[in-house]
Amino acid sequence: MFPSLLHHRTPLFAAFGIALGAMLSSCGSAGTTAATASLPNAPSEFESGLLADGHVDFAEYTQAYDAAVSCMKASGLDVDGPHLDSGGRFYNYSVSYDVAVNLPEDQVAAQDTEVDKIMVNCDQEFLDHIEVQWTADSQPTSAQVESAKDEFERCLRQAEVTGLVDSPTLDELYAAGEQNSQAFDCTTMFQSKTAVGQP
Amino acid sequence: MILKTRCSNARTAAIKSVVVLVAILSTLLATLAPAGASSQGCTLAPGRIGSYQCTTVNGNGRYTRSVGSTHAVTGSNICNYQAVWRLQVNGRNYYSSIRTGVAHRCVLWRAYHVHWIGRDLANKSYVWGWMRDDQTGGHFVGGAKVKIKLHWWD
Repeated sequence: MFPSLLHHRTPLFAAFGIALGAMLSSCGSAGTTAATASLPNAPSEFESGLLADGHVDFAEYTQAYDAAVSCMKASGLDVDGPHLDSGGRFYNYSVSYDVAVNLPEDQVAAQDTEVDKIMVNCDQEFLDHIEVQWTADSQPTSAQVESAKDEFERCLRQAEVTGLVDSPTLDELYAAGEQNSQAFDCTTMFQSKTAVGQP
Repeated sequence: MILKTRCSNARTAAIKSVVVLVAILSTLLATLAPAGASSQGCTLAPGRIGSYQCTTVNGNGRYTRSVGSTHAVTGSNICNYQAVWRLQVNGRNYYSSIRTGVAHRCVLWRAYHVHWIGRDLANKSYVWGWMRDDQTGGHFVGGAKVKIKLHWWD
């Protein structure tokens, strides 16, 4: 829909590598404390138990995610999830609730705030520190990022996108990923595999 | 009187024929129409050059597979991102508010969120989408709106 905003390929991937490298260097050597230091709250008792050895594996991340979603459901929210993304690295969920069309905006905002508060409380109790640590512990290497980019391109071609040039830029890959549903799954797969921790 | 009746009958028959013809044409047009539920709307996100937010509806005809949000910030990483949508099904006096969880991680240049719908939605239904991340100061930005259209004239 939007025209490609960037056009020069080599500098772009160089910038991508530099930015990723900066994030990797700032997070890769960081221990548990540094990885979760960006969060405003201290780990909960539940989270501290999972963080006791300084690392989070996928089973622990799954356990934390299930606990957070169960907490929201127990609080009365209609939660869709957890769903594992197409990269197989991160879960996601969403919460739905009905709002009357003619409800005044301040009451809509109050309802949003109430739902948000439950979500934040459950996240803080069970998930925030675990997800941040899991992201740091499963951080991709530069070689894995390059491999994921190649896989992204192959996936898009299998999804029969049109107009994808040889050696496409990241922007061109993202743009192609919006052509159809299958291509969109390729994009979410790439994002899952290349996501990094807080800089 | 008889003539008038015959004339009236002929007129009625002609009207019926036109109605049937219109119905057939409408059915054909509806059948031949492109995927109604697949569409995208974008809006510039305020305050950041080269930043925009898009709302995407994926599907075919009235069947809506999913709604999605894209938040693009050129040349920058996007951290702790979250999406919300308002889904207004045509003919209902309420809308569904949908909120994703916060993704506690960083991605480069574009952040995506998807919510599975997996059902038919009425023609002329609307989806609005917003996203926020660390750089939006806690505010949801965007508000791109997409209308589900089965025909070009909807």
